[in-house]
Amino acid sequence: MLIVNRGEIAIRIAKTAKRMGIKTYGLLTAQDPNALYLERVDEIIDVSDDNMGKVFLNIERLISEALAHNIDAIHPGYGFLSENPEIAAACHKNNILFIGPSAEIISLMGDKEAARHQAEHAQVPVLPASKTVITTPQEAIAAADEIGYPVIIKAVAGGGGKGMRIVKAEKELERMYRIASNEALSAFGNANVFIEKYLENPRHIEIQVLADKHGNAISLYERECSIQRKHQKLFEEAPSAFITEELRDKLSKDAVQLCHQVKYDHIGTVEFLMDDHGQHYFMEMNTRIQVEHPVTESIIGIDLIEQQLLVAQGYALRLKQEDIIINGWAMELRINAEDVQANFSPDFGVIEKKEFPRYDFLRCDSGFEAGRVIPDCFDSLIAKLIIHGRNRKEVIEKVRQVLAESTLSGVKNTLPFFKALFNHPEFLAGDYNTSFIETKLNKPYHTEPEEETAAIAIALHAYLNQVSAFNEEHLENKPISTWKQVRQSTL
Amino acid sequence: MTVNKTNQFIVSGSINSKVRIDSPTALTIDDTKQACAIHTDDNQNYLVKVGNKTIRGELISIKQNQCTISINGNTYQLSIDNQHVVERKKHLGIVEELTITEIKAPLPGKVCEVLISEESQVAAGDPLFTLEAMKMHNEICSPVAGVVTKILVKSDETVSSDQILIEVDSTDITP
Repeated sequence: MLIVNRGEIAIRIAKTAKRMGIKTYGLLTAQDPNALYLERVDEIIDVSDDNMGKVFLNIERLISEALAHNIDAIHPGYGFLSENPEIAAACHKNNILFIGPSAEIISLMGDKEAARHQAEHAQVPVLPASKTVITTPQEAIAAADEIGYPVIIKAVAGGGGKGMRIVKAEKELERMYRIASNEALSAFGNANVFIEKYLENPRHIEIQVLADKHGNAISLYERECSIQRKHQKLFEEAPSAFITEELRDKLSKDAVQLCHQVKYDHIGTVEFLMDDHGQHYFMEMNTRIQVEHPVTESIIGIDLIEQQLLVAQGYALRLKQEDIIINGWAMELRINAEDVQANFSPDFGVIEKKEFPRYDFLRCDSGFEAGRVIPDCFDSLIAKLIIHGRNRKEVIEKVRQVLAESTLSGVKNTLPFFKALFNHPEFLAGDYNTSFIETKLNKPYHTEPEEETAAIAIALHAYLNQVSAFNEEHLENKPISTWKQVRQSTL
Repeated sequence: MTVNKTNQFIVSGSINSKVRIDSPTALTIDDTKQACAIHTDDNQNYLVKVGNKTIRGELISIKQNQCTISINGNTYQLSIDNQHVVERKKHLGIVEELTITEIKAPLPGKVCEVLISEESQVAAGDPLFTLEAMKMHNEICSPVAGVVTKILVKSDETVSSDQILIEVDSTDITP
């Protein structure tokens, strides 16, 4: 099997494949030649001559490498080509097993507008939206007027928060429309968007589904993903503190119903928005493994990559809905190379120190170790910390312990954010929605009360040492440090 | 006059405070006295004892009077000025007025779209251009109100971190 991905997910896939006796191939790229995942696959294919940084998106190249190495299967991971119907079709044509649903289903669910229609057919609730695809600013204005502000512009081909903009009033619409469609064009090669009613401050709750080629589909229950910035998830937990047994049944039933409607035959995720009254609306379906899949694995106790590999090969599900039992609680912290003090802008460089504690309750999925470079051309995920416990309260205590014992330096990262999050009373009470970071955190990072004093002391110390070094060199030889001089001048 | 005293400093940037060094183990920050001792360990880290707590910090860079310090993953950018230099400037009537603001690329990437032209009037928070970096289109907004005097990049141009992209003059704008 060829893994056409990198970082932690390539390692994650290789691990299960190895356990199942499947030989794995990884791709050596020019941008990330010393990557850790290359040490975890059985064989390496050198594609470093492709120096455009686009090899993970180059279908023709990937297929020709697969054929040259007698590859039986291609696993796309997440991101990159994972929801691209063309690679699924190219695999099918060349007799390679694509680890994902068919090209037809990927196209259908990848077209956000078509997916909405399918949800409506399956009688899953949806939000009001434009009737057709929007291709001009005039159409955008007309559609938004009909729906009523605020609206959200979404790329038809979108995902991962890209090509998506919220518009509160008409005067912003044209500019936001252009940004969203340009972003969609460069990210997905498709500038088409549609416009949907924007639900303010919803919860983002998704259902993991598992389906096979024999018409079976089951729900592996929900993940709560409302802690987001820029529409991208930073933290997930399962189960959700907001979801009652009744709501869980409702969401599961709708997700499974949608799978049956489109004859879904793989693992997948049905994403819902939920308002304060517990009313849910279909948002989109992801036809791949998710970044946050480990929280479900933690509480359900199954290996989702294994299930993915089995159903892709045509095996019927052995698991029945009644076998799926929630055991305890799990949370996932995404440790990203991001500057939380600068509005979560990406950072990169060399990881100088990376120390996470080792516990039975802690799983760390990471594509990096200390000394490795975080390249600027890929996403910013350094590690995922997944913590399991008997209940939410216990997990919170364990997370705090892990945070206190973790060190990561060299690149700015999201650890200070999580320290702030795990000190916030409303988050700790499970009371939060997607606006939490923007509206509830005064500053999205934690500072110790003594930190400012320490910063001032270090700055003064360094500055005065520099001044004294300068004076020694250029004026006269003073054997006494400026720090002490200052003291004497005050006596 | 107290202009010759050199134990008083003005710290500005991430923290804005008046600081007096009382002794090697005590600072007065904005009139509050704090016990504070400093030493370095083998790895060039600073260990600062503030009260009963020891804080580990790292000096990322120092350039003249500009320091960048990292503590617990947070970054502090601080400028240090002698109190008497500040006072002397005030005394001589030198008022530093920075009217030209340079807008720099916060990260390397590709300029997608320049949303303003030279001589455009902008308000603080107005978007100036979009920058594609790490697969996201980021809107770069003006930190100040003013008039765009120079645009140094064009669409589709690749830029590196901290490259100056646009200059905004805020002289004529009354705050």
